[in-house]
Amino acid sequence: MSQEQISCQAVADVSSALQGLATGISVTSSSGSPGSPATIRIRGVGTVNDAEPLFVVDGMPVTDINYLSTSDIQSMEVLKDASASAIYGSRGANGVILITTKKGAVGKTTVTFDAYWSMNKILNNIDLMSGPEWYDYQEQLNGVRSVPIDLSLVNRNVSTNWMDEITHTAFMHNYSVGISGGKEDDYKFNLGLNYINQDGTIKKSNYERFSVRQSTEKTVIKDHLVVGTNASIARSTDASISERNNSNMYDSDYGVVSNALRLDPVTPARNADGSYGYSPYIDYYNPLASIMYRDNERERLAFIGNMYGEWQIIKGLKFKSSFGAEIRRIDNKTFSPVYEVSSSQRNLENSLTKSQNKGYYYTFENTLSYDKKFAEKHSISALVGYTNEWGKWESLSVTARDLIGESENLHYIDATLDKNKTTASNSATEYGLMSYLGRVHYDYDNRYLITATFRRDGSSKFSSNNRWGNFPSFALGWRMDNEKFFQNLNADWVSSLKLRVGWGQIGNQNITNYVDRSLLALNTSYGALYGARENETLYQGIAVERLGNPDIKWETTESLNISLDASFLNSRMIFSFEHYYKTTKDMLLAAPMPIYMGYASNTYTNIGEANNRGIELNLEWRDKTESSFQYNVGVNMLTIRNRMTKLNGGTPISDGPFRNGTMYLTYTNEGMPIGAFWGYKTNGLIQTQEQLDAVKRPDLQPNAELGDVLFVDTNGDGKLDSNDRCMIGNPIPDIIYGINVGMAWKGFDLNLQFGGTIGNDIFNAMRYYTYFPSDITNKDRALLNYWTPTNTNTDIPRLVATDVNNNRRFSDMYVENGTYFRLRNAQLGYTLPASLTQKIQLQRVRFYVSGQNLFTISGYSGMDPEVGQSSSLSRGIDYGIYPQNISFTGGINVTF
Amino acid sequence: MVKNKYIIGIALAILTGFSSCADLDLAPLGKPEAGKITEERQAFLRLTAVYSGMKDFRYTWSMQCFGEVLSNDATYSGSSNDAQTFTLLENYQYPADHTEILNKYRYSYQCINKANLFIQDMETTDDAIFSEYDKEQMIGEAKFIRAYTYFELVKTFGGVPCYTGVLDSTMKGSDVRLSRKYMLLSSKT
Repeated sequence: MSQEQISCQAVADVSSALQGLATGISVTSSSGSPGSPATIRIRGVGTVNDAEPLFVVDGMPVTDINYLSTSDIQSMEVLKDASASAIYGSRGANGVILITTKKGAVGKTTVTFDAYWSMNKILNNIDLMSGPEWYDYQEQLNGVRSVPIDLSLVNRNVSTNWMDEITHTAFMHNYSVGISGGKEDDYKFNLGLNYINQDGTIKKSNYERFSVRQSTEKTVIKDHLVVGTNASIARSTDASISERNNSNMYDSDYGVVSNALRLDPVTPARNADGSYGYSPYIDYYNPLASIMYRDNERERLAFIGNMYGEWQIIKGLKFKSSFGAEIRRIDNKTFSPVYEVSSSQRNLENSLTKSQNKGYYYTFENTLSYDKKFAEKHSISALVGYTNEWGKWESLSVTARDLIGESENLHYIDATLDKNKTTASNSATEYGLMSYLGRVHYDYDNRYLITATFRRDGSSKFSSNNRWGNFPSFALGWRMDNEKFFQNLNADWVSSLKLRVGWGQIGNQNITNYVDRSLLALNTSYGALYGARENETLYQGIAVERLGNPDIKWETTESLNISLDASFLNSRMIFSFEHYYKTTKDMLLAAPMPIYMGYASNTYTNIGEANNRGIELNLEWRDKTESSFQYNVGVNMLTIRNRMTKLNGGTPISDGPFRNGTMYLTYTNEGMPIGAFWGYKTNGLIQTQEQLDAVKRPDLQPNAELGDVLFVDTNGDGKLDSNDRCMIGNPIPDIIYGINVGMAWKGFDLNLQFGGTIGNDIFNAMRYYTYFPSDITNKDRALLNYWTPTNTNTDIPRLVATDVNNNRRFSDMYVENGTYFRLRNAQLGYTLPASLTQKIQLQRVRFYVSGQNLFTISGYSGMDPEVGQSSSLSRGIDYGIYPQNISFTGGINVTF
Repeated sequence: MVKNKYIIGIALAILTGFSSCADLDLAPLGKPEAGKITEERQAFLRLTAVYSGMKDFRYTWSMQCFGEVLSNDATYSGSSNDAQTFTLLENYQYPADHTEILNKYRYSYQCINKANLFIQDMETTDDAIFSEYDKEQMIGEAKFIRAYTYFELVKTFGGVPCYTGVLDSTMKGSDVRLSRKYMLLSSKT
């Protein structure tokens, strides 16, 4: 992907800019929170572990690309198959995204300035009841309740739209300056500065970043020695809402957005006297109060840089050495003042938590390569290399309570009135990786190409018996258009035609550190009180939280791909087709263990095998007419068929925790896709007396009545129990596609990017609250159409106060079709004519307007069909997290 | 020519020389490894962790949860919404994934596992390190807590898996199934 395609996206995080631009990758934003990264998956989900692809910036692997701005990037390339990514090593098992930042170019020094301003609003498709509708619905419910709720406590005319209360139109602005220059065979440099400030669409959330990046290269001895550096420094601050629970997973019981969707609309956001409203029926927090009373700030500092030297010893023999460092620092401050909204939403003692997290990652890479061309037709290049990586992450946090005052200047730990309440925690983790690499590439007459690679990697995460893994790979290529027989065909309409076959293995060890050993943990929950009255003392207990497994070893991803790349009609049409077959063996997984084994966390084992296969298609046409009207149209498509092919030991894995891990929504088992939705099958409602008689038995649905949900006894054993649960949906799309259209004429340019998915399902977990009358929460308006003996043409069950038939159990009533089509980005620009700009000493001036997520076509009833994932085992579950935005942007690009 | 060979040699030496620089044997940071207990205080704190389950209501409240609330002698919490957690149980349906039922099972076994690990590690410990506390008494206390936990489990569920050693990851539930009758006898150990 080129710089133009990326820089025309008004996004704070680079990973979101990749959407729809390249085949083979699926990019979903897990949260619309400002500055939040998107989840990128290349060719399906290969492993149930961390399936993050590797980001390589200027040849150096980095842990996170949040320090980059779209204006820093020259180009992005996605490496999808084993043979191409073999050179990048173990983390490349999930694919590699190569990012090249802007480099200097030989020629006159150029200075560029880019700025854009945009307005964002949330996308909210959900249709909840208004105050009066909810009041009337509850009145009807009171008719069937054994103990009616007291509706006199609320005012029927109050109609709070909670999502409107907590969101607002947000403003974003971004400025970049770039300076680039160079002199032939002497030096090249590029300097970039960027500032972005993005307000979140949810009140009191925002993101601000300032970064400086430089890239310099100097030829010390012509044709012999080149040295260079790339360095970036970025500082960002952000404040955001709470979306995660204590285990850092998205959970629908927590979080401001989830509360906004559940709280009843007759509770006022604020009362006449200015205090916050609360529901008399349920303990959920007033989300507006949660936002206003929470004071959370995070400051991130990142320094990423590398130095390299390339030395041509004799002609063709080069030695390259590069040392890279990534130093990160994240400081977090959270302050909770004393407040009382209701008896459950209150804080009796103010508290302050400050945490500092430091990360250091170093990469040292050395390669020796030799290129030689002989006998005119034979071209050979060989490379050997050695890489060493090491990383350490440490976190320190302190919490103090009962501060002497609440004003900003007193937000320091020393301001506490009771030093005995101050607690601290400090932990760290580190890892090391060593690799040896060899590669040979042979090219005969630019017609036949062969590449062979071999890697040997060692990781500190495994015990010494299983530390090392060997990973070979091959690729064969055939440039058919350079063949004599092809040239004799005189098929001038074919510009190039290449067939390629590749096979390779790459290792993956992306799991938590130290899981090969049993460690003792000192959790607060392990503490106990001994003694009585004056002798009462609290002791900190220690226990094993997770059983270590010394037998774990490398996870291997083996992939096979066959591809055909062609271009026709003078390269005006580009076509590429690829079939991929990717198998992940010895998958490392903290699989659930039997509960009676009594461990708080699961042990890692090499437990499974998964397979992803499909095709990738890319078709592009670009042309221009005589009146210099240029246009291009491109379509790209990826199909995925994902299956868990083997689970050693046979225990299927439940994930997708709901309500703090008491219920699970997904199930991974042999023969099914990873993270398939799991629940009961329904067959509409019980409409006739015969249907009722068939199920109203002790083992089936003993408490059912007409109008209740009819569940299917799928295994036919005459009992309706958890064995009747089956796969009710697949979160992985059948097809992910993107369509790009571009036009340019007389200084105007128009760019449209469409994209979407087909065939994926979404598990609307919020329906647990909004679709069933059991909890006294706000409800979806669809519930107004409930079943009655006179209104039978509906799929909403009859009105019941106590759900004795368990209509609410997880079933296909929660699963919706997630297919969507979206106009992701549209940009219209105008470049001032050169004659005009040169009068004011400017080389190029371009104005543009653009919009993101302008329209969406989807049948999904939740907030937005773009639902991300919280882990590889739980994708496509809508927990009610930070919604996506629609935005309108105006900007200017100036080249001096 | 000679100079070039020299340079190639140095390059290769740099290439391979650094392999000894790095060490892939890393000690865990901030957490000690479990195993033989070498210090009396560590033994005391591991026993503390065995006791710690008792302060967690999800593990101790079978009498109130499955007794008082279901027999309508008591009601859970105050809000009408919280009381609805018990609807299914009050209608004689006891799904295995119900919050209260699952928590009782899960936290009881976590306590049993901690007790088993403690007893196993204590058995290989040197008697001489104990000066303030009595080693046999500590083992006895852990055994009592384990037996009491099994008693609570049998009262609630009937037959449950019973094991007194530390399980390795390959054992299956069928190996350790237990009946209510046997439980009465083994609570003496």
